[in-house]
Amino acid sequence: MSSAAEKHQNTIDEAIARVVSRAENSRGLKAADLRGRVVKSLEKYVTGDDKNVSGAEIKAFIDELRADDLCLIVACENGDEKAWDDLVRNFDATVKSAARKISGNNEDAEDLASSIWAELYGLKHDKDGKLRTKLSYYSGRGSLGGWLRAVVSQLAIDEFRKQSKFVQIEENREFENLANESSEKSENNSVVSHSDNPEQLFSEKQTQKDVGEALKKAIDELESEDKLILKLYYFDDLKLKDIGAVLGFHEATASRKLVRVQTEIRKSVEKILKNQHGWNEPEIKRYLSETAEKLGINLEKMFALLLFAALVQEIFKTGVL
Amino acid sequence: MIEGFDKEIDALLRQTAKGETAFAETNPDSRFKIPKSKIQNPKSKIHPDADEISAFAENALPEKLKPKYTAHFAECDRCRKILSNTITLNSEAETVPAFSVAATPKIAVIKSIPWYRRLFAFPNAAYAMGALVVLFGGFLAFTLLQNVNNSQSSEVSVISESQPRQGGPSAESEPDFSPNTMSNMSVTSTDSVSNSAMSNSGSVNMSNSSTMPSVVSNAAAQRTNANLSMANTNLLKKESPLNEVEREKDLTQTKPSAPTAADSAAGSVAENQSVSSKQINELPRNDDKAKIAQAAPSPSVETLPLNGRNMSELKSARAKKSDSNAGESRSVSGRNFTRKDGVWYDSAYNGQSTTNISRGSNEYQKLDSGLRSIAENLSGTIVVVWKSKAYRIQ
Repeated sequence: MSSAAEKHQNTIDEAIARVVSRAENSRGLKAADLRGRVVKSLEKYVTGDDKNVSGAEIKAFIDELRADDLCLIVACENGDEKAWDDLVRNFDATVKSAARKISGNNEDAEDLASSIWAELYGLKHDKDGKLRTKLSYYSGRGSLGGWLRAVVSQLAIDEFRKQSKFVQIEENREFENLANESSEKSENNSVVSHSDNPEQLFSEKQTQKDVGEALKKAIDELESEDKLILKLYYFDDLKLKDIGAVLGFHEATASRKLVRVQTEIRKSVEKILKNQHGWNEPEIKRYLSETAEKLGINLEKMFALLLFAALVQEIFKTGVL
Repeated sequence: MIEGFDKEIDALLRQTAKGETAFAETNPDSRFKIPKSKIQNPKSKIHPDADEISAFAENALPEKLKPKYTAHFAECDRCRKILSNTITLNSEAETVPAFSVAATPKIAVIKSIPWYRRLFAFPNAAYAMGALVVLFGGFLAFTLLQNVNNSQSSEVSVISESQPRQGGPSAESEPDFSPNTMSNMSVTSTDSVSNSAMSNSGSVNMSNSSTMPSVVSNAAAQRTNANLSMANTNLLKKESPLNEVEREKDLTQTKPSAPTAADSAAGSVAENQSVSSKQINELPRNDDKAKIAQAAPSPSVETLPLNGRNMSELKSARAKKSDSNAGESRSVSGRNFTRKDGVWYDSAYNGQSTTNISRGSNEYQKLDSGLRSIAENLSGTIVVVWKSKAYRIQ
């Protein structure tokens, strides 16, 4: 136990007692059963980095733990069969649903879900003879469902990394090369025009390289939060509403922040292209407007196709015709 | 669209993002779109576990720790990918709770269907289509009805415009004594009369029947009643002196070949309207009339040379035609109506444009009670002149 935890022992005990009393189904657990888990969580999130943490902070942290979920997991860890039944019955759908959405097919989803349950139950024993289970990582800070989804996602990505040959690629690959190659191989060909003229082809590649480098630098210069917003929005296709919820602000605020980030990136890209690559103002404007125009057309086509597909699907599904 | 959104930078970033994920996709259905660049960031040695990621995704981490994790997720694509997957799964789970799928599948399905797709779902689509069909059918019927009415009106106007200028055998061979053509013929005869008083016609005040020159009075005598003469006066009022000159020329040219038009015009009136003719002729004449008489001594209508036939002959011929062609007549509220092609025409109607009014409509209710009384006494479509304005009530 850390010195901070020892210092606030009474506060911690009282808070744990409240956790047990808050739980609708404490599964016969007592404060002592939860103490080790709660202290571990405290060290991880509160006292680990800050030795001078106050009692109020510790109290607030413990009071915000999810009592029922924590009691269920601790009971499972302690070998409570009833708790296991409840866990599987209540959360098997969550695990399978997450696995299905993340996997390419049902077979993979079934495998993934089975792996998750195996890891949750524990396959190996520690030196004390106890099963080493993933359940021991659950702190009760977030919801049990959310934690299970994160576990599914993490395991899926780690499995993918193990299987994927792409893990072996060099990590310092240049950002701009990716953009260039992807434009040749992906469906995005129409965005970047290609010419048979070698001179023009070289010029186009050089242009893309310059822009890629400038964009990479511009993104690197952003603040962490701005960078995360930008990546979640553009690279992971998350909605502004969800991004805002994660970072603790309203969708409108997320939207304003994104607009500000775009402005910063434009300024940086223009500055880098001018100062480091010798572009002039008209060249920058022309390239950006052409890119926007071509991508805009693609997006319109894609939207029209999606709308049409949705209509056809709906017609067949409802049997109107 | 977000206000102030930079479309160009947005396009550039989307293009770049596509390039980033393009290589990572070995399984197109998979969500494991980890960019091959920076799968593991060298700067971030210790990665957050599932508990930290889920707590961050639910904004459940202590405020103090947020910047640390934000910085890591901003740099580490692998952890960011796990985070974004978790966020997406959480978001989808909120929309359709996993446990509810098994327990209440129907509700879950309904909730998962977005509003714009529900619009097309049965039975909404069926109701909407049915309503559209009814609306469209109603619209077609209404348009058809309107077209039928318009075509009737246009026939009337075509006749009234073309016949005064018609000459020759065609006019003679098919004399029409409908109220429309009767009025036209009257105009023709009036024009022929005014021919003699041409020099003064521009200065004559036509709005007052008491100051009407004798030639006009004579023409008005051909009307079936006083209202008819008023209508004719209105018609004359519209004629500019220049038009009268042109029409005079036309008439002069057509006279040799179109005697029957004038014949019939005079003839039809002669029988019925000798009284009104007298009344108008007996009206006191003012100075204007005297001047007109001096300037152009007007011969009586009866004595006008019309291709060798005088007005009396024309009147008698017209009366004969009128007798043979006249349809059912009725008198309502002191007005005479003649039925032609299923439409009751006011004898005062002389082909002017009509205001179409449907029975029972708001416009109909706003009409004068006298006019409505006429409309209620005659079934079907009626064309009536009320306060110098023509109405078609159907």
